[in-house]
Amino acid sequence: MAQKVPIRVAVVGGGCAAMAAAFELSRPEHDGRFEITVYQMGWRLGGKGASGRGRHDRIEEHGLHLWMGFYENAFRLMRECYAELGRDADRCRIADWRDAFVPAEVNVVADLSAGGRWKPWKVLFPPMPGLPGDPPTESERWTVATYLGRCVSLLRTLIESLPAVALGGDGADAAPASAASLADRIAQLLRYGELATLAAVIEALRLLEGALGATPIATEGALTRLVASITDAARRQIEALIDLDDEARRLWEIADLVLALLRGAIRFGLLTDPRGFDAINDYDCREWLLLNGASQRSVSSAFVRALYDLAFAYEDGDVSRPRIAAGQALRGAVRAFFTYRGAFFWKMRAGMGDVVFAPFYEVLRKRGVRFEFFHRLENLRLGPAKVGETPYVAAVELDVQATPRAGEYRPLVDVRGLPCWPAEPLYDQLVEGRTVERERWDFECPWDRRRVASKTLEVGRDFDFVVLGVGVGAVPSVARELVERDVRWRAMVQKVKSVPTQAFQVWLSDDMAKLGWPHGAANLSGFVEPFDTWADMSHLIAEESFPRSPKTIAYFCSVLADAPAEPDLGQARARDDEVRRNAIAFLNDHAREIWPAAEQPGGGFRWDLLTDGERPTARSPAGERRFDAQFWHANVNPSDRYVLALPGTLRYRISPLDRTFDNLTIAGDWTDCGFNEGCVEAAVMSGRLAAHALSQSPPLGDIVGYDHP
Amino acid sequence: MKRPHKAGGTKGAGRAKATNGDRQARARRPDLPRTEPERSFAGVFSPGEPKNGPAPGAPVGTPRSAKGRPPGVSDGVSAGYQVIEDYIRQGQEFARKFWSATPTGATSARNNVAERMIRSASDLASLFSEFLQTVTLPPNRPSPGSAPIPDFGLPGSAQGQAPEAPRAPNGRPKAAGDPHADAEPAPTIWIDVRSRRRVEVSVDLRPGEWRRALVAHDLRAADPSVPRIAGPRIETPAKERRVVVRLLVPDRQPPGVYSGLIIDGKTNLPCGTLALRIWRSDRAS
Repeated sequence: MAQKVPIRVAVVGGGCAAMAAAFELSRPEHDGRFEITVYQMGWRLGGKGASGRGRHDRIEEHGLHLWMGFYENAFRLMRECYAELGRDADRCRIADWRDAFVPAEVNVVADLSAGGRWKPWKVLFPPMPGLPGDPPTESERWTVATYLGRCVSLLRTLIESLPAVALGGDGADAAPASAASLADRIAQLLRYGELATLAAVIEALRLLEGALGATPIATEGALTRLVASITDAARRQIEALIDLDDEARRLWEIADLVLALLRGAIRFGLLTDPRGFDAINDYDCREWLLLNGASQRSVSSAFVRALYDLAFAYEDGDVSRPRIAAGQALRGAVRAFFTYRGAFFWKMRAGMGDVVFAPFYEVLRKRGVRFEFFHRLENLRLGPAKVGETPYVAAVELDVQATPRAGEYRPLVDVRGLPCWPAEPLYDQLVEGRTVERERWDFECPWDRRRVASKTLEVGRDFDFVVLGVGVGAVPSVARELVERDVRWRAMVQKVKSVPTQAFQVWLSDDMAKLGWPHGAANLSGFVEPFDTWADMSHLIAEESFPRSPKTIAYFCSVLADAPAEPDLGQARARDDEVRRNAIAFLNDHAREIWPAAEQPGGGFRWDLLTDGERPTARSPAGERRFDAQFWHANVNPSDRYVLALPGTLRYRISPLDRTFDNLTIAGDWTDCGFNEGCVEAAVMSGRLAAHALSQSPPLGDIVGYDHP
Repeated sequence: MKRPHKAGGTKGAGRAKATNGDRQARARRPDLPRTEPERSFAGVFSPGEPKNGPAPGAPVGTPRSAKGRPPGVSDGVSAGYQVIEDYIRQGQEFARKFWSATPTGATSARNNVAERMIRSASDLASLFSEFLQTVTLPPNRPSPGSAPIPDFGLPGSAQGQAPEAPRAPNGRPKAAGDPHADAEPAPTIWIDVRSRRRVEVSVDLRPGEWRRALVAHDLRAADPSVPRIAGPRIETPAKERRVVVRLLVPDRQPPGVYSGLIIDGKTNLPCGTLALRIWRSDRAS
């Protein structure tokens, strides 16, 4: 009688993709077919989404994380995870996924006005039917044609909203209060009416111009001159109009972009191209929009800057080199704007580690998944090359960074009933705890090579399959034999680039209104470098345990320029210092743009606003030194780097379904996963694909968005 | 010892038999029915698509005039018409608001603006219609990595056309006097442009004419004082279904749109047009 022998899977890495793969492979439906072990360097899961609880339980993140309302795969897994977790709502404040994620309704784009001042542009995305992760509805269908229809609707909505905006939200049909306001209102309406009219005129004329370009020469001359003069006149009028009115200008810029998208989708045949949006991935998004008639002004607008900022889309971290593949950028944009459910953005009600990775850890462990913390991947060793045989991983070589006393490391701490990850290892559980604490071993830094042992996993003995779930930046070093063996892997590590990021968090003793920010708890993008993105995270105050609660928590992040030299341990720490300096300079020079009351009378940031959550004493630091009690971080470690979607590079990505190496699959937002842009959703899609590669489950049709145009 | 094969496994990974030198059978990943996304047009519009049903907002009741055309193409055109209709509705809505907010006795100039808007929206709709009909024919689009060659040179004039163009029996738009339109697929057009600045090139060649000995006239701007772009060449390699257009753009050529006829070198009859747009340098990214 045949004996049931499980297939042993070594999952290397503990980020979103690796956890999604483990979650899929350990589903009860597999009936224990896969025996899974997760190997994770350091003391916590999470990868780029790791967080830790520091002093007074404060949450310390790798960076700012917002989940978008179209993250269908990610939300679906989280919902299933929480359902299986079965936490008691009376004993745990985050028992259900709805406790874990809250809609973030106020979204703001930092807009540089004609006068050179930063102005917040508040964008309200209406709640949409359903919730992310709901089962797909029967009517749900995503096609390029559908999106073009939605774009036209958006265009109409945008331009129709102009009079209401100008009239302070009264609406075009509201009765005027006086003769003077009637005159104003008519003047404004006419002004906006003319804008809309001109938009249509310009659009028609531009196409007409193209049509005329192909007519016989004899009829062309006079008409072309006429068309050109009308177009120029119309543009001049619009430019003059929108210079006077920021609201009109912003909406015109979006209208201009939507028109370019419509035109480009048709001109480039995206309706029918079997590659969908991928057909234009060799163009930079701005370049493609320009090619299709968008104005320079529109592609430099706050809206487009915000899209680039959200994707950290700056090559080598150089903010003067914004680049993102047009097809993927547009796929991301249309999915974000037209397919979100519930809210456009969702915030987590605690650290990402607490909300996402602690539940994953608990559920997976219950299912029998083993976790080996303090295991750093050193090398994937290939088996001997044989003619006609697909290469395979023969051994997984690991550094053991520390030894759990009880055989198993139990990584979570209890924060008033909520299982959370600590910001540092639980040294008491480690045999070498005192030593590594005293010597400040940096378990998450690949340049800290200290270890207590080595371990080699042998194929057939310790594992059958490998899921490589490390960050793309780590691939060249930990998978060097694979890179050497296969030309596509070599091309992948050369072309698929990543970028470091920087982040800081501050706790303030005044609330947002007192600081001069009247727009509520907002997320802001498109702001000034070196920190272009800010989110008000004050909803986390209740999660932390400061003796004197702050009134505001603010997270900032952005890309960080690559260092010219190959980094090492010393340099990684120097980059942290650089982020500290950047943050201080930013607060001194630019915080007043969003928090006017945070500026000192003579200029510079009011450092007394920063709090460490304790009662101030005579020995409390003053001035800039108060920043030392805040949190900042340079994400320069290879696994922490953010993957870019540069034009012309996406074709070099490798799919988790690829079988170049017979017993290995890959998982991460850097893979060719159907949504090739760094984000939680891409990582989860990739993890699900990795599971499919090993088990043919989940079916590809269940991976939402994989077949998206 | 050889490990037994997993019992009852119908899908997914399996263990291969041990071979000489292998201490144990090594598990191998399963063969997958597919390894890439299916983003294809046919899949997107296929009427019986299994689980997701029709597209949200898919056109209902729009004419399916493309008899004989593959259903996917037909639906694509219908979807396109919805875009057009939306655009027209948008124009009408603006007009309504505009007029309702304009006091009695408003200047004729204001009314003219609104009328112009309606006319523009209508013109635009017919142009979109033509674009959609164009894109649902066999594609002739720029490929990734190639120079951008947007097809701004549309065949025919847009003025006065109804949204629905006359159709040949097979559902394609019918070009007047074009006996080859229904019979022959379009050739591949290769474009070799040498220019220091960003340019767009459009080749509009009537169906079937590519077999002739084609000659391109110099390209001219609307303003006769602007120097011509001389020497465009058209080659039709023997035994190949392709047309090669070669063009050298002088560095000092002023920005603008240039166009020239493509003629049959034997009969001197026009076969199409070649158009070039030179962008201003400030448009380059």
